[in-house]
Amino acid sequence: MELIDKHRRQFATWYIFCFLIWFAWLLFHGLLFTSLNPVFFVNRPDVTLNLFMLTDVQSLLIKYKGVRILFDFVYFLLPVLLVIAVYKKRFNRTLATLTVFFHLLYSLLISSMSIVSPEIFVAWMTVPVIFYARSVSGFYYLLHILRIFFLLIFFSAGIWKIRTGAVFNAEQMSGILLGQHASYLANSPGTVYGKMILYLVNHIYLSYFLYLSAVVAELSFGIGFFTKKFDKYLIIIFCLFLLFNYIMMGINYTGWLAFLGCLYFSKCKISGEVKEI
Amino acid sequence: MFIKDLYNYSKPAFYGFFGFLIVFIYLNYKQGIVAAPLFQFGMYSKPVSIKDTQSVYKIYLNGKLDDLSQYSFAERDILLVTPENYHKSFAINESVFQSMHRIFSAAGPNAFIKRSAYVYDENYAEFNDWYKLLLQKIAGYRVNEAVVTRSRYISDNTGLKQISAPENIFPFGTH
Repeated sequence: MELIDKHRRQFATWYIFCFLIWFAWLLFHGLLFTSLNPVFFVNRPDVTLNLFMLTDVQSLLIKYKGVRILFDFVYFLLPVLLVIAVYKKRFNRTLATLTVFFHLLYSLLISSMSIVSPEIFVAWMTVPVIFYARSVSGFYYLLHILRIFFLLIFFSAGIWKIRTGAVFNAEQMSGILLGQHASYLANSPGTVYGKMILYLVNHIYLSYFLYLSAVVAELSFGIGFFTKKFDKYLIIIFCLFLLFNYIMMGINYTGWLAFLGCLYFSKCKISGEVKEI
Repeated sequence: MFIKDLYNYSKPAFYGFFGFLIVFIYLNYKQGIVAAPLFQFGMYSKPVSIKDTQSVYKIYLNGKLDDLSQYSFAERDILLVTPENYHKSFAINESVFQSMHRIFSAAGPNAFIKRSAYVYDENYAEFNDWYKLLLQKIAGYRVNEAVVTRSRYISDNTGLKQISAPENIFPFGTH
């Protein structure tokens, strides 16, 4: 199939659909600045976050309600404007750049003031990059750069587990589940969920099998560096990863669904005149 | 090959992407300080054991043990982790400030680093009020009294066993 301009708009629609689900989740759980009204932050040894902190923006967010409202409003507005710009084919470069920059800032700050990890925001800092393109050929190359980045996330996570030896530790998954749900298990051991987690904790080899399957799934993303033939299977693997992570670990990776556009459209080829990005 | 096609298509895009890959690989090899959240995805790769001691938090609202199973994962995390995070933030922020001071000094913009932006004084009264409001919002009813305890547990074949007496970690300033 040939890559055409319609695919760029379809990807933009998918992106905004995923973003709205994500935003609703943040809103529902009180994880926006306006609902959180933070009174403190926990810094991390992250150079980018600390470069932003040089401006003391974190104190402004803590002190002034108006700044918090502005941050939430711009966080929501930029992706919406970006998608409109993609459809209208105007200002998409400016808006893509602004969205990447502002979402990076927002994600780093909100994660330092709440319980969410910056990693789960990573799609919103990277996916807008592909809408920087004005031409179909530019879209093609940026789409494939993002696709490689997405593959790298999973492949490197698998490599990390080999490097640290976690994949060779039979107790790993039971230990992770205990650490993740200790308070829940001590408070509500009699619930269906509590019993399920306890069953997995006590059946070390069953939970290790799940961990090993996850590592194999992560490493399988490496095949994508060499061929696009298996991308549809990687989409299925990712959806299973998302589902199991939510059920067993309570971590919400739905934001990463936006990346799937890269795997879906990777089968499309470019032909005809190659224009600048 | 994609990378070769990219080189022929756009030199800036090629060098930008290639540079990113080099930094990604280097930071994953080197570990330690993170450049941005885009570069390391460990995803539970630190080895752990079921024999590890676990911190267990319990929340008592208006004198009654709160049932955590009624909350979503995110709400549970917000309620349980926040007092500990606040308590730890002073030492962590100080330590990160020291590290960043060294890095930025070497890079140049050291003069812009204000200690007051990174490290703040404890304000337990403010935190107590704020966290109580948060509890109230998530629990969905008026909270007159809130206590959070932490104790140590270990796992045996039947479940979790308490090995230390509960210690009150909230409200601050009363223990």
